Amino acid sequence: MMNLEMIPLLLLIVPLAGAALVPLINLLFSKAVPLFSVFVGLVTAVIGFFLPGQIGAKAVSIVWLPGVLKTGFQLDTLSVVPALIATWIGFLVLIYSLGYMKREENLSRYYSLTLLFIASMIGMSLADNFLALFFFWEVMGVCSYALIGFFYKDPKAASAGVKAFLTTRIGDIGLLAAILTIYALTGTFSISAGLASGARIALPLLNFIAFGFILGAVGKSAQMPLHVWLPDAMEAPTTISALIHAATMVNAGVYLLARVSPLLALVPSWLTVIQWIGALTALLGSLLASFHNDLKRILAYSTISQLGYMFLAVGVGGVFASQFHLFSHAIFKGLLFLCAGAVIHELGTKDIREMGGLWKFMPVTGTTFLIGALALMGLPVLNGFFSKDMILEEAMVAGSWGPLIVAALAALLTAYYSLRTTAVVFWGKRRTAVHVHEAPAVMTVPLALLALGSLVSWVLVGPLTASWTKTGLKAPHIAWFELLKETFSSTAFIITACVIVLGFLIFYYRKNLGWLKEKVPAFFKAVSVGLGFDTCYSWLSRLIYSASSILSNFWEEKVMEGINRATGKTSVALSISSREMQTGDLHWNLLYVVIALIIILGLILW
Amino acid sequence: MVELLILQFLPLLGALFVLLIPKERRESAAIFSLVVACLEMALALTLVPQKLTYYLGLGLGVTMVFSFDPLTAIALLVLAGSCIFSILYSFKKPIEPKRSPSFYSLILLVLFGTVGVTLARDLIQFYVFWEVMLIPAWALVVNWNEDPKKVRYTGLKFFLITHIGAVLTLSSILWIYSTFGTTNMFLLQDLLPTLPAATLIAMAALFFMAFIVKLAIFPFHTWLPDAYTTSSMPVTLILVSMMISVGIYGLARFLPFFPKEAVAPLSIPYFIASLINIFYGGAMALAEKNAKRMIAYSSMSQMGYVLFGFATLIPLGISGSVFNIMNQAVTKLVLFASVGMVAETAGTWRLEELGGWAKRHPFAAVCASGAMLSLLGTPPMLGFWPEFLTFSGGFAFGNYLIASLALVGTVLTAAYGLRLVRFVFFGPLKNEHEGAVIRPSWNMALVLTAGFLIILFLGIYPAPAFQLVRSALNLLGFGIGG
Repeated sequence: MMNLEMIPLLLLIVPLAGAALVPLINLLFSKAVPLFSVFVGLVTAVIGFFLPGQIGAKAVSIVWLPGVLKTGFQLDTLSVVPALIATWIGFLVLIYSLGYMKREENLSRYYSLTLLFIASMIGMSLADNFLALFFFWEVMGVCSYALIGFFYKDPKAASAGVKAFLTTRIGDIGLLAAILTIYALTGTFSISAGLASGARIALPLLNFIAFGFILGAVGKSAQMPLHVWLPDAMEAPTTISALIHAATMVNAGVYLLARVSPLLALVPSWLTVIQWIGALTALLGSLLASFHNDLKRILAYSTISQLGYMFLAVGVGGVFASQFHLFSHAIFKGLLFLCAGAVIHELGTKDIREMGGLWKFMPVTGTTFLIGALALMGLPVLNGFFSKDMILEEAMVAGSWGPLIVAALAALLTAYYSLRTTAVVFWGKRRTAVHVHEAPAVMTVPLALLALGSLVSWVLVGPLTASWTKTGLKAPHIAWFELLKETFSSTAFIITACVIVLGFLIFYYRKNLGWLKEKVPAFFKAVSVGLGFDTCYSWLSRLIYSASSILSNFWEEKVMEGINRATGKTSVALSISSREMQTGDLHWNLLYVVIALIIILGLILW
Repeated sequence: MVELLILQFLPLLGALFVLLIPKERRESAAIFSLVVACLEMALALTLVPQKLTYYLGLGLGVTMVFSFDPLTAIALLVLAGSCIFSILYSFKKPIEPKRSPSFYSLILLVLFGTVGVTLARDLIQFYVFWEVMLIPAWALVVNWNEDPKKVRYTGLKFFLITHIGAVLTLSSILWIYSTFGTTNMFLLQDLLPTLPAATLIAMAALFFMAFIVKLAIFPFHTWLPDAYTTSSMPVTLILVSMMISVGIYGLARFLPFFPKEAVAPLSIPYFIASLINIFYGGAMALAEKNAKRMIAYSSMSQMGYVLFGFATLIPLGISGSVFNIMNQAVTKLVLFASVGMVAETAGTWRLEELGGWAKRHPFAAVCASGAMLSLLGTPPMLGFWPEFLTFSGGFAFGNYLIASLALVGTVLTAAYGLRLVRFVFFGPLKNEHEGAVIRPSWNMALVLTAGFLIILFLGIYPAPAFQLVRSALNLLGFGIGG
């Protein structure tokens, strides 16, 4: 009988060990690397099945930094859900990679980093202390950086990795500042103890802490204004986009905010900030997704937008709603990305204008993509419908009408671009002559499983809410049929229904709306450059670089070196001029001696 | 107690005997000096948990005091390890002028001096060894240099500026001696607190100058980029690892040596100096177009963090800096060596002439990326722990502005670190490098693997190293966690 306390540790160590073993296996027998990784993923996924049973149970802990930190596991619904998403979607992505990555080189790097990523996502969400959370948070960032730059020969990929790392780093310093401030004030890294002592912290510091946490979350979850890294991150292999940049890592910010929500509740003005960040990001993301032609970037903007909804949910106090949407989104967005991967794999392009009419050739991919898109737009009764409706309902209950209206507008655009993307890619005429096949079974089986998840995952609302009370956060226990009843009778359902219908109408009559482009060209131009965020940042980085160059070329090279040389020259000049006095002439020497004696005598007498 | 004498004089004997080896048998000289460094390391390892002191009377009333404790152990292990790394690196390296037994003799003399610095518990003795270390280092810089036009200037600058720091320290030592009539640190520990605070502050500030200069704190940094960049690689490795370690060690040893109220007023000035270093060094590194010089400036910026940790005067912060003795040495060694391996094959250090080397040198790319991440303080690399400890000291100090500014500095670190790896290893390989011949060498593979594994292993599980840091701090009166 296995010691059940070990389960969370095993869940962490198995993929970690796998990541470490992959390079060794690569040395001995490189062909075995993909299968070995899938095997590790399978073992992890199986261990994952035991995790829900451990909710609320005690787990092992380890001395990590003697005298400073003993790290353990926090097992509640809030932490277990993201960990399991990483475990299971990670496993599906590994299987899918067998087909998708077949033709690539350097597979040991790919699989090792992917397994390391899965381990760190598990570690991040299960951590019972802020330091371990930050540790794994950063490791995820490293994996993300390295995998975005997987095709390192392409300068675009290499630069995108750097951009992702730097942008999220800005958020990370906020997170670290918040964690260290709590530690300085309470002397503990423990999450529960830190949150419990929040009320004793002075308000200005509490504001500082809240700001730090929000900054960290905004960076990691690609919210405005730090969202710019995520679209560029699409240079990564599509499997990675699905796993890291849709289903798991980008959720970390939302998870963090949910985790520290008791602290945020003490500073309500920051909650308002979160609401607005979320709502505006949702709108921004859906707007940019509506006008883009790069399939992966459309999905990236869509992710940004959906994460915005989760932020909104946390901001209005609907922590469960945010996590419920996180759960739904991970499934349907993972699905959409993997479908996109299958298409891109076949066609060799990411531009949707070169796609079209693929339904006939890729029926499984097409159907599953449609299911994903419908879940994304929130069509009843897919999983995205319930969770998005819950968020809007929470916003309404909280009376946050401003953000609610913005979010509803975003939902409208979401409905539009979901349909547009599906239509352009899979329906209509074929636009290229490339020969297209359906993806192999290793790719379509994960698609089918995720599509099934998109259809029914909301049924799990019962067990999720049942164990929710152990998080110390409030949420009513609700079974799936109650959810069904409540959602359809909620006021928010009217909004959802309206925006879907409107979105569909816009989509249907989109050809008739061409005149808009001539009427407001400035708007379309602004949208096409992502509303100028990237331009601002590149200006800023160029400014810093130029300032450094000036400092280096002028101050360091001329002034500092000048001082060095001047000091040397002055000393030499002084010695040359004072050498004159050393004549060696007895007469002069005697004169100096006498003068000195007189001065000394004078000093003594005086 | 004879162990301490062996520990101290083994490198000196090695330096003498290596000169007996015929001039053209340079690999024998290398192996001999390697054996000496390994023996030193092994001896230090066997002594680790202990605390030993030994008095050696020399006549004329002079008594040398040697002592071994956890802090000394940390420094010694790093010094011997760095020495092993550098010697191994130098194997078969075609540098000009040719490596000779005198080259290895000088390296062992540097080891002798630095070991003396870490063992000395008498101020005069400490100063003497400080100079003993400086002179062979200078000889290495001026004799094994790649820039003949600037070598005199570089050498002079290196020697004079570091010497100015040392002389200021000497003046403080003489001041202490003239006050108490002794330079025995164990005795002084009890005597110093009897002095008025103002005197102590001045004494301490003067005393720390040698270390401030050694850490290349602005404006005393100008010796560093030239000395690091123009020296041949093995010499650069000696400088970045051993010189830096000894500088950090000095502050770790002597900050607690002075009473707390004497050093407390230095906190804010040191914070400011460290912030200047962080941003100034970072900006220099960012603007740099030469990879070697870039890493050199990054070292300056990193020393800002080290000084920052000390300036907190809080156990966690200081533990970060002491931990940094290990981290800085191994991180810099791996970074320099792995990028150096590429530069050697490509025949250039210039960033715009490099690129795409991950394809030809995948192993160097992995090592350089790992070391770069460690430099950035990113887990799962070793550098994370010292950096995190430094910052937690900063926040515990209570000045949130200063602490936050230092945190912002890490973005700059990330900017140049990522830039370095990006421009050396990623992107397309230059056409003229397609045919470059790569000579596989066992010694490079060995040092890089060892260094990388240390960075990674201690990054994932820092407890063994931190336990040593912690016991060192407990002895210095900065206990962590009961």
